[in-house]
Amino acid sequence: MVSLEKKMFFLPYKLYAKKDKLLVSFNLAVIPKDMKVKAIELHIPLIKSNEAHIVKVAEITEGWSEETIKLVGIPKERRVVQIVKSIPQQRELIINVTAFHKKWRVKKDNNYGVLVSIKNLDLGYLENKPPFLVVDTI
Amino acid sequence: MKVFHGIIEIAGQMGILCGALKRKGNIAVGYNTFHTYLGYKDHLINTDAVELRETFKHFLNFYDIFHYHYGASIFIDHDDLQMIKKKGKKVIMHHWGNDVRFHDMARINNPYVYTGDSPSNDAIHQKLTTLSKYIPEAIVQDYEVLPYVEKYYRKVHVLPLAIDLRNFQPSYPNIEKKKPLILHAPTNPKFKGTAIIEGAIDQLRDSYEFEYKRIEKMRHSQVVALYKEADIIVDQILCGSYGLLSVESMALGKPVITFIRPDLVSKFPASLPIVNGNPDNIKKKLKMLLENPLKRNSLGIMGRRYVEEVHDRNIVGDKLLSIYSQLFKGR
Repeated sequence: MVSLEKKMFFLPYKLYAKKDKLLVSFNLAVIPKDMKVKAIELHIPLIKSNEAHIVKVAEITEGWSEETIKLVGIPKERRVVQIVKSIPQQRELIINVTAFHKKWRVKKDNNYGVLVSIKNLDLGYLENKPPFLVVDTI
Repeated sequence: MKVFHGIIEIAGQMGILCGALKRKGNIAVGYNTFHTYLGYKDHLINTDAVELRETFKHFLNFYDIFHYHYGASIFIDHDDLQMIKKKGKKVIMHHWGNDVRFHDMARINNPYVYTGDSPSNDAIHQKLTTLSKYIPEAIVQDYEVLPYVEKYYRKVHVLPLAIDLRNFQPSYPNIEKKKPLILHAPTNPKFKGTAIIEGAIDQLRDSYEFEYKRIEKMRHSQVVALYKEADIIVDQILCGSYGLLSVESMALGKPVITFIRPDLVSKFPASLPIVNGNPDNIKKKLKMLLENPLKRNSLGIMGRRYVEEVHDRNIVGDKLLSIYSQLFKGR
């Protein structure tokens, strides 16, 4: 049995998942100031697929909400920070997002989150099976 | 297993239980909307009800079990309970005492009890009737709280208070100490009987050498550091059962005075070493401990052992997991 005692778990503060795109942000401003963060991983549940998929992770650099996406589309301001590849039958994608930890902890409104694109995969199911963050703390 | 705890942290219990569950490989998060000077933060997300409501759909999709505390759920009208039930997820309510202590019922076996912090009988009845429409099972901390809620739920489990013993290194009273220190920490003086306790202490001042400290409005971590110096701790002498201060005092190896209702004594393990003091005999009990340093020391040792056997979060955590597994069996 693996102890999860040193880990904090966060569900999305904002989430939009449609076609091959997932936009997600988390409120990490609630992590106590005296707590040190060692690592942050984004866990994305995957549906069974026999194919490998290219996964692009981009930092979103402007404000958005589920409502604004419906009105004006997904944010244009973003920069790709990681490209990874899933393997066939993979159940969960784990993306290291530790690099964002300082920015995301300051204020929930400044945390625009990430956009994850997975080619040839409809990510709509994530609305009912949300991704989550695992934060390793000291 | 993925477990939601919320939304009111009482005496650090939500955090301790989440820590115990996580230690056993479960995902458990305590969402707290009740912020006090006690400053609890371990295994908690200190948030507010608005944010919880905004993100509830994700909780509903993610968590397997919703473990609520103190009669509160996320939505004021308990819409969340309906949605949890509809979704087929499991839910349990943890009552702590003041949320359900019917005034008249509390007095049946207890002439001393203070119930001024509980809602009216009607309000408690209404609340329990509504909650139990959606929540089949509940948890209480002991047999003092059990009778208030047992007729409302299909089943009520008794789960002892939990403590993380790593934060409580025992420091047994020194039998050579000439001027013992008595401590009392009233988070709620009327409930704990502070005026009566301090009255008894004042009466003993002329006959005995001792120090007395009353601890108030301090962060929990600071309070625990002060308990360590104590030789006698007085918890609550009106309620009829023991609370977290007693558990923490015993964990630190201190003798503790608390009132345990006579009809409840047999419900606790026989090894419970609490000095049973009520408003009528508190002076006598204090006197006995002041006169007897060896007794203070031996009660301290017995207290630590008792807490290791009954209140250690790992033992309580196993019991909690067993309660959760029964929820799934009762589908």
